[in-house]
Amino acid sequence: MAAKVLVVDDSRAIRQLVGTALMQAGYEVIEAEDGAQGLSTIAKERDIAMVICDVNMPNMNGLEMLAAVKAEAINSALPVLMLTTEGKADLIQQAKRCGAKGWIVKPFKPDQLVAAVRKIVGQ
Amino acid sequence: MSESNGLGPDQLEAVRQIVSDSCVDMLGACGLPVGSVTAGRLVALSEHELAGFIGFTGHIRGSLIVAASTSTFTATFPTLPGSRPPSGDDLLDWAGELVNQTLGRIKRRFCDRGVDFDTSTPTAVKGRHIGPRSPTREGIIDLVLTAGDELVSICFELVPPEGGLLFSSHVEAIPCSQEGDLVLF
Repeated sequence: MAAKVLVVDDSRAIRQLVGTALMQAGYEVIEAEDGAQGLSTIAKERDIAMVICDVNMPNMNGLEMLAAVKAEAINSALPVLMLTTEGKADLIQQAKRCGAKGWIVKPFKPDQLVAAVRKIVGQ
Repeated sequence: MSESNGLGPDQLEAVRQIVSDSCVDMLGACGLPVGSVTAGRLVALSEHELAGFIGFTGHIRGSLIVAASTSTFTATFPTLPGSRPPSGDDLLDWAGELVNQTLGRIKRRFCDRGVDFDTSTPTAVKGRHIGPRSPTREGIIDLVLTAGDELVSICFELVPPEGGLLFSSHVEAIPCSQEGDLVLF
């Protein structure tokens, strides 16, 4: 069965690009438009293998979502990869402290993203 | 064009260069190499049908607008082999994401010079004859980028900090990762 990846980004263009790259690599992809929707999706879909998450989003930003996800013991092992235009070192360190698995600065190369997902998910 | 926004001429030129370089880099990365950059604004913007907007706040505040034709946003839309062509709504969304990624590049260049700001989430509009209000206000840098037959209008507004000093030679760079960098923990 294909591993399920949740893509959280307020840009439909980015969700499509990430989703197409991952589906072509054999993953199942589901989407959320902001951190709040991402959080509720994680609560409902218990078989998510990994989350790819933007930082600057309306309603709930990606770092807030990351903290909320990791605050639940059941999600402690759920890998979260941040994908954002932000590149500041202090934000990257904050994500690391919160339990993120990695950080990619947009724009990204689809091959590079798929390779990172393979490394993290192990497929 | 009015640019007496409290910055000295050297600092104003530095900001203009940062904005210009960031826009040229962004469009080039999206497959639209820019041939020339002209200071000023287009009088007739009849072909500008989409525009992305984003604001920023903090030590300094302001906004960035990128306006262009539908064909320009189609040419820069990120696709993979096998993807469907972008719809009108896809292009509107992309206008917001393109201005977001462009401001990200501007922010990294500001961080190199020790100046940081927080970005808002972007938005976009579509219509006809999209253009900035006239006459322009103080503190706005207008640029027109030419890429083949395409024209892209840039409008960058900056409200400098109290005292008007934006970049100081005594300030260290703020550490930042670059576009495309990947870090796994």
